[in-house]
Amino acid sequence: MTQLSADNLSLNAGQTELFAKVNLSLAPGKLTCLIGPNGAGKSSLLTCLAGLKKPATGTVLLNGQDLTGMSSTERAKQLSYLPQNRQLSWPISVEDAVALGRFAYGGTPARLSEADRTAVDEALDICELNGLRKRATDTLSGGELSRVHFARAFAGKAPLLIADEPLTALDPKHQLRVMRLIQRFTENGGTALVVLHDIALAAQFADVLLWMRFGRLVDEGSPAKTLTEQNMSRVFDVSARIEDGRLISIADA
Amino acid sequence: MIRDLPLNAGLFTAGIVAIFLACLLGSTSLSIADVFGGLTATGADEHSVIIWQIRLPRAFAAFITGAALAMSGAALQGLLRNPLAEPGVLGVSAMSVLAATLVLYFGLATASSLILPAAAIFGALLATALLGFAALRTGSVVTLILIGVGISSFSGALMSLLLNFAPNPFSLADMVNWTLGSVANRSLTDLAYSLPFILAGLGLLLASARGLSALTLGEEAAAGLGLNLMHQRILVIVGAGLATGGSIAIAGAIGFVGIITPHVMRPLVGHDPGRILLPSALAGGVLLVAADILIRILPTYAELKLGVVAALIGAPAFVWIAIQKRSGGLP
Repeated sequence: MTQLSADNLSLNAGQTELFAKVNLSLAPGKLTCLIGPNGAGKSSLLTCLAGLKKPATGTVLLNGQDLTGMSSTERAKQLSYLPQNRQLSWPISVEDAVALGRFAYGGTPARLSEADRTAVDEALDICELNGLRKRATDTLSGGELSRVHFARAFAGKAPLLIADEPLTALDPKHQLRVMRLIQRFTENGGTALVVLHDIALAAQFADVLLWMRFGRLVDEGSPAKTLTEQNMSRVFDVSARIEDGRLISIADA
Repeated sequence: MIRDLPLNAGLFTAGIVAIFLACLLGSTSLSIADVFGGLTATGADEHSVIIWQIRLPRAFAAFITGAALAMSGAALQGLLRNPLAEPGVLGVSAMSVLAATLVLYFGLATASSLILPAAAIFGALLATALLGFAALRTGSVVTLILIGVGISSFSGALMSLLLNFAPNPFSLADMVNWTLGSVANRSLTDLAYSLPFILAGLGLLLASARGLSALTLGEEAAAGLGLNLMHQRILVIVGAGLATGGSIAIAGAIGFVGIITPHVMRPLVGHDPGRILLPSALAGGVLLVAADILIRILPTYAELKLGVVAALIGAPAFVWIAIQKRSGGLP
């Protein structure tokens, strides 16, 4: 099981503190959802946890090894990262985009080994993209494109997945579809950390919720325990009605 | 790159055919058999001299220049994720020409045959390094292209200043020739001084191909895939600087090859910015050899300069590509 933990993590942009004093340990084989208002520092925290930015203080440990000391290829084999930006710069085909997930193993769309090909086929299968293999990515709908990104992440076979707002601009049905992909990934032993803005979906799918506000983690635990009117009020500044662990409605505080 | 073998083999063959056709042209009329004889040194001695001293160097110069510019353009487009990036547009060519002209102006070029190529390459590397630093500071590709336009304009202004101060009409003509761009009257020795730099540059660019493919997903995602962004930038910037500078040392400024060739090749390689490099180089070579044949066939009063023709065709094509731009998601 893959372990990712952070100890006393902080990051600044110039004089502005993005987040500080973050301690966390991702539950292996579980889906953890990071939630919090815009500007809480969620995306910055993800880039540090994914090893793309060096934190100002603190360390991130991946299977007991300091993330900043790992080579980028070594890290990528353990951890796949899906940023918010889903736009591709060139209209490459779906299967070529998924093949990019094999980068850390030396594969590229131009040259794939047997193992690369198998991994790409499996990923296309899981994300139900087989019928779209040859399609240019600029002709896809938002839902299809987001599945392409998950497929390229899965093609890398990394046991740890970090995704930043993967549900943005998706309709409810596609949101469910993507959440099921992530759920399936964790059911098969993967560990996932996902930033979500849809609290109801987060509560429905997450094993653990991380509540973040003003650059601090303020609560952590199962949805049943932490999805409370008090947390909704202090983290999101809204007055929420919660019944049986489900978010019923929100209103201005 | 087995996947693109047929394409590359086809373009390579086209290159050989184009160079052979270019050897048929010139003030002395030679038959196909004469050219064969000259090439293999089995025919008349004067045919060998004409082919090896005049025509072949000119055709090689055109091919190498086209290949260097087209692959540099393709790689810069991949790095900046914009089909409008190109050594000419980004000011790399202008800076390189300026450095070469400075050397001519101060009469340093006569000291050693290596000085002119070295100056041209230095100018190109300076411009690509400036762009590289700018790329670290700004995330916007448009800003970067505007910086390139600035570099280009400033180098152009300094060029005008040099021309303004030209001591005599001969050195003026010498310097103007650089800015027009031509592959006429090049010797194999001229080529030999620039070729190592160009080959080194193309080698670095080919080494960056994998990373360019990954950059299709954007810089953040590419870094997540395990790409070292800094390493990638240095490969492309130094590679494009060496190749462009080397080509300018041979032919002066020839614009737009680096933008048109990748644009034509892109659909043939599934729009992959890594796979596009080698086909672009081969096609760029063919394109310039063909253009150089064209300007010699056209019945004009004075022989047209290759760079002038390239710009006449290339500039409208640039505008057309800008209007057509697919995948318009970039800022």
